[in-house]
Amino acid sequence: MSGETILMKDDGTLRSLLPMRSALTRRSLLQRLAVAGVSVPVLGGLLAACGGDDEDEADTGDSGSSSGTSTEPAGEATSDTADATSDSGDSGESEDSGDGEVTKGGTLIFGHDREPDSLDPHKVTAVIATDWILKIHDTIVSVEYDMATIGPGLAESWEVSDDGLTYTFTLKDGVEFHSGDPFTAADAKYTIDRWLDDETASPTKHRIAGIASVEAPDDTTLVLTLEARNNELLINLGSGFGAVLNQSFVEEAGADYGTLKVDGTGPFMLENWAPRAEASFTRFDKYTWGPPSYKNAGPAHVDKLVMKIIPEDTTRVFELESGGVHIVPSMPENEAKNLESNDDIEIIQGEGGSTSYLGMNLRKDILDEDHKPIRVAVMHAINRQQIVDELLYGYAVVAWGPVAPWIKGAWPDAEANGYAYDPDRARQILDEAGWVEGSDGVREKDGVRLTIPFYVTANDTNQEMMGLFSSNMADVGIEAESVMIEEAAIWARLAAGEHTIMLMNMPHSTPDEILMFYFLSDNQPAPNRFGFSDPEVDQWLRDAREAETEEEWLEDYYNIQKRVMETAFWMPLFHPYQLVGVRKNDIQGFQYYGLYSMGSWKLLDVSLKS
Amino acid sequence: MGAYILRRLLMTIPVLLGASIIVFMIVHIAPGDPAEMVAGPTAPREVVENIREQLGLNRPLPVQYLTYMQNVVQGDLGRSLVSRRSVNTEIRNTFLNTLELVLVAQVWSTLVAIPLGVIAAVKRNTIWDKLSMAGALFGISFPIFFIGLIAIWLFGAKLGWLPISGRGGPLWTIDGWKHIILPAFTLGYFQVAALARVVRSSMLEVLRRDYVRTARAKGLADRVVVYRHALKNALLPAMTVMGLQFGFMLGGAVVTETIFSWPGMGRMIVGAINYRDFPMVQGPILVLTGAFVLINLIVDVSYGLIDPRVRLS
Repeated sequence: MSGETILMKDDGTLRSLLPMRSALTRRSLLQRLAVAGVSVPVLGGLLAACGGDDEDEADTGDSGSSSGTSTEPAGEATSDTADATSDSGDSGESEDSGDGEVTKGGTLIFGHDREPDSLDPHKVTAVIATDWILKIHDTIVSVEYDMATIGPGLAESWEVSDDGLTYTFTLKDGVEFHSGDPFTAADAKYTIDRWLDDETASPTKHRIAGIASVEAPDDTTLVLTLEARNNELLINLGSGFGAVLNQSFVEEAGADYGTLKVDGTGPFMLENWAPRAEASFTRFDKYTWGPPSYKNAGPAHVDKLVMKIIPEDTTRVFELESGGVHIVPSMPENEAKNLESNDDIEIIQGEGGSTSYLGMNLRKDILDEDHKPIRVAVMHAINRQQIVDELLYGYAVVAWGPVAPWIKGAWPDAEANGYAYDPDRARQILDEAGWVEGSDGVREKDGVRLTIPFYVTANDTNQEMMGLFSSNMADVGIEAESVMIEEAAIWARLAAGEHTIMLMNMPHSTPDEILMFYFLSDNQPAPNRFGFSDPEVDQWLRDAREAETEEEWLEDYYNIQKRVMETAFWMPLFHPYQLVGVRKNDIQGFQYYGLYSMGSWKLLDVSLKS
Repeated sequence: MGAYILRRLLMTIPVLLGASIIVFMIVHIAPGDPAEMVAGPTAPREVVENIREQLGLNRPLPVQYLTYMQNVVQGDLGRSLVSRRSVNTEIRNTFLNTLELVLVAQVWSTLVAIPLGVIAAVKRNTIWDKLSMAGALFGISFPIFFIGLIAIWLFGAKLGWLPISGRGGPLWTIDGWKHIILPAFTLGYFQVAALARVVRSSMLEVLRRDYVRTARAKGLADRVVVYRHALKNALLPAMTVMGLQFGFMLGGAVVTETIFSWPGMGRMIVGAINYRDFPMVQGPILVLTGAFVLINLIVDVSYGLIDPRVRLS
């Protein structure tokens, strides 16, 4: 199974995202599917809401028969979708199909470079935290391996009202927390209320802003009412931040929740966590409600999960080589390259959405609206292929737009309209704009030297990258001044708008996750740290969130990306692969999970080879 | 002596108080903002502000300091701003881990360094002297991370004799010992070099003294002269160095702790500094300050035990 995970952008997964035609109307299909507890795409909410018109765009995303309920989708729909999701597997299949024999038991060992600060989903933003959280907790809905299809989680089905404002989730019965408490709708309500509560001070609260009310009329029904349609709701509920908590347990644990005390309904129970050393998890034997992405709905095949914290790259890689750990979810590029010839180890190039970019501050005189030629020249002057080849050992693709190409909604024409590496063009543009090279090779105009400070978080890779930027800039007569700042200090300085150009990386699983944060004018001074304000873009961002059809949704996002690129203030550099090292002869059934760049998800299909 | 010790102990109070103020000021003057770190890069301003408020970071600094000290006096070092873990518990766990590592490193390095220094002094200008001092130079010259990675590569990856990361079981188990060997070796290696050189030079000085010549003239065996008469006196400067080294290693074994994934105090403090997690910086540093004062006291008291001429008053 692990062999299939190397590259996920092949049409297998993309096809499942695309609208398809069937005899059913969009709405009726979706409702049937939802009732049947079957996966629906991210846009399920918007699709469900539109009745009456004939455009049929929905996608089951999973085998309709898996739920075993009476309603079933039209035959055409089933046959088409069954193979579309062959990657993620069908829940109805028997456990050992495809992969040969599955060995039960054993301990699966991860080597992480860092550990979570906390496992309280409402206190964290770190990728590693969501990774551990989703092994212990479940979410109301699940986001499947394609990062776009929404499947059942703790909710077996849900319905969305015609206006898209009311979500009614039917929760699974018989689900238990590790502590033995039964899971009810009251816990789900408590979780969302707590997430939104100011006192919780959740750093991810804004992700589900706009929920007007949360009701739990009975033990298995959860009703969310929104202020406005929100196509991002479900994917956020399915993220690590949406992990469902046990109300009584959390209230009793108080400030210790997430570190000393944790309870969830997930496939693994936290057994022991020695900070900075390792954490161990044991299998939750009662777990049978795994997401449909897995062949095995639970309990997990392995008895135990150990997360070793090994901050030093070399040590971590030695551990992988010597078999001390089975999986390293964050391989340094150079080490990954070395291990490619190792027969025991497979390097998975995971396509978690992530974009490294140079952001220009339009509030700075030298880059403001009168100086667009400088911005364009900078974009033509930077040699991104060199960064990818030399610094990242080829483990990235050159970026042409903000959204990673393997995320649905990425602008397909980005490359054709992009800023190719062309120093001659950059020089020509600067010449035309009247910037003349001075005696030391740096251009000047009206006594102003063309010096641009680059604000960069201090670390080794960035330092090397900065070296390349400097020489690229010098090549066209621009002086790049490197301002390296420690991570703890840089955010406040960027929020204060000190920077002229900044270097940053942004993980994202949907277009909204990067475009809304960065380009909404209300998000100034941060996270919109570019002084970018465009009423039309603001409107498109809101429209996309509330779009009722996929065409509208895509059109809005394409428009935004096109406008951002045309304005030439945000230069996408590259989309890095997340490199996961796996001991392929020791384990099987591992699949890369790209949501929020976690790398792994619930590990239900993973087993040790005997 | 009892009164002396008591007086020295009382003196730690102003030292701790001074340290707490200095640390508090340094951590707050240094640029950086824990609320931003907790909020992450994509949070809108109001989310950051709300976090700042909930963590109590928007209160005036003197108020924050006094509230903090009020709790400290009652033995409560607060909770981490980031993980919400109790600082007391975190210190208890990491301090013991570090203490184990440092003790083992100190014991083996002392056991090796003293004979090495003595041999070098006694056999001055022979091949033994040259060899042991070259070895010491070697030790001082190589950075810890280099020695550590070589040790990991050789004993862990290549030979597969020893585990290369993590804490393993408690020290009284075989697993625990296996895990501590490489980090303790790496940490102690550097100390051997420094200590051996100190022992050698003070031995050389002592061996020139009249009472050593007298002892030899009396016809005492060479071994007795060297180990009973000379070494005892030569140990005083070595004790001071060892005390300082020990204190330094408690908080400064960061590199060793990082390479071997040892869950110690140095790593904890550095992590907290990177996050500007004030309570997690201040608490451990207060404890380290106390430990440092205590170690120096022990060294001073043991002076008197080794050399009766030293009077503690």
